[in-house]
Amino acid sequence: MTTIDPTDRFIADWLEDGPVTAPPQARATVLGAFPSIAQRRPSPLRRAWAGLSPQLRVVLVAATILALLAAGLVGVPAAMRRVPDEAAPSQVPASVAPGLDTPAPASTITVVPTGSPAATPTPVPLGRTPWILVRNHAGVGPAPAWLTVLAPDGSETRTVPIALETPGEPKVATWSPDGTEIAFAWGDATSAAVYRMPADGGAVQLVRDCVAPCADVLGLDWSPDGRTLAVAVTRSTGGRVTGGAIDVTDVATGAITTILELAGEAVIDPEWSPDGTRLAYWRVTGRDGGTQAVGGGRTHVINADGSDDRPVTPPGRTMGTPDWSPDGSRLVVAENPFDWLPTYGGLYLVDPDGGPDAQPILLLDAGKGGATDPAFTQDGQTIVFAWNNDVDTTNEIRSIGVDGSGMRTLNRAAARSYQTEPQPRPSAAP
Amino acid sequence: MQRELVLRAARGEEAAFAALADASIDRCHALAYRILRDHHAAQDATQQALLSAWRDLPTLRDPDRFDPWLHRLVVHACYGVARSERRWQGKVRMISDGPMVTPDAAPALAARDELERAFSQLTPEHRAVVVLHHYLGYQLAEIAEVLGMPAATVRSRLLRAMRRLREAVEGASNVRDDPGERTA
Repeated sequence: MTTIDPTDRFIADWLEDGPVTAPPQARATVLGAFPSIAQRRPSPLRRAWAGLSPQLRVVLVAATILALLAAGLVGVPAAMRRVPDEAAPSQVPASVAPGLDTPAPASTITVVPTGSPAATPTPVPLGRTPWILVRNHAGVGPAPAWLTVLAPDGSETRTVPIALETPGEPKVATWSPDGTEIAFAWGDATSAAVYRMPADGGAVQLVRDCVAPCADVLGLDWSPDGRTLAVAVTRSTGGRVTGGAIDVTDVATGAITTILELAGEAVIDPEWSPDGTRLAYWRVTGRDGGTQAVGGGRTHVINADGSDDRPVTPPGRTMGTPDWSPDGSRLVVAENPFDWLPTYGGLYLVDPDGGPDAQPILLLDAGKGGATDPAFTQDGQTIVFAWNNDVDTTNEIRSIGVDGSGMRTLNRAAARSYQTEPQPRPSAAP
Repeated sequence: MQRELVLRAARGEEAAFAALADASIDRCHALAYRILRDHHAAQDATQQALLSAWRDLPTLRDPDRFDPWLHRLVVHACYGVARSERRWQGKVRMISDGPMVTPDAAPALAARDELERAFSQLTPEHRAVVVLHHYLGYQLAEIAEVLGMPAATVRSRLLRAMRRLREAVEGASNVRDDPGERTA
């Protein structure tokens, strides 16, 4: 007769405790989202290859290489030749990419493969409800990547899959003015590019790359007229971040107009004014060109042509991640918005025309926690923000009235992010 | 029955996968919760694992091994979620707002509290081995197959993890039984 140690029994009983059914929301998310994801189908050749023994694979590879060498279809790599390659890079026409014998495409708009060509993504019906877009920490491990949208009342979340096979994860995202598309920056620690896709998933198009001296994308906002994206980028030299910029990028052509160039400072989270004439942004000063901020920074407002750049929050206080009220009369900002700053802070209303001497109006004293990335809803009566609670380490999406009343939690699961944004943009609301 | 669903889902039949997911999601969530000890993180991991399952199902060679394969996806999703959540963990313990504790129940609850603490201090890899063995009932060889690692590694992880958990439970019992602790 086997005797179970009482301690082991205690541990086993403890493991038994807990939920045995998944929450309905998880079930709905999976069943709603999976049809939009293209399946990975191994090619017949790959399937056949996998069925071969390792010894047979070695023999086949060796025989193939010998056959190609004999036929003269492959040669010894240039780096292994004793005589230097005579084709110096300067002799290659500028329009021809190295290693290719055809000119590089002139347009920067490219349809990105979406996995299996046989599997056409089925849109997830989001309806016309003004959803809130939340940047998701998807792309972790082998999981598919997606963005999460959240109903304004927090009652439902939906997953919008990102049909990209490039390694990385979504960094920042923005709705198109009519709410039918999403633009997002995608990449990893060493790469970034800006894409657009239908708001319910589907084919992804490259809008622009971020190649040196562009090092990363720290913010994105679609202009009210739908023609351009304000893209906050970092600059780097020799692998070291040296500054930041705002690139106004034409959505159709990918053409870039830099309206602000900063050395030793970074630009985060640019936001178009509802009339499209100005941009608010968070200007961060710190080590390593600003991306590793230690001192924080202030919210600035700049004209769309790059003129009249000026701070609108007080000196000595770190206030950023701005968003415009639908009538353009106010900005909502978060104090010490990110966890790499010493302390979190609350939410404030700021006069975009008031300059640095105008005092911000306290909307929410964050207390033990931090409010980040606030955004007005379309009616201008509510502000949605991400909340990081230092007491129990939870993360939530919350909402609060513009008079500071009625704060409530909309959702916890979707709040592993710092970005909230109503759909469509306030300026496009009927 | 499940084999047929797996084969049809691998061919891209959405209804078949919906049935598979519907039948599997509870167990996936239960597994994820017991590794992560957080409802929201478990939900994230469950969703990631099932969406990965749909995406990668055509690459599953043996349809009879669907369950272990899916559990492997869940475990790896848990690793990813745990890594992304790491910066939020370990600073402060959650304070339960449950019912008041009676004197009789206090010792057991203290032991459970210590157990919870010790479990949260294990790496996700060690937690996964404990849960797969003691909750799902996998044998060591099966865990090795699910996790893609040598059985000896599984065994050493399980022994190490269980030793820590036992120490936590027995330590709590010793403190309860020590009069000096009570009056300190």
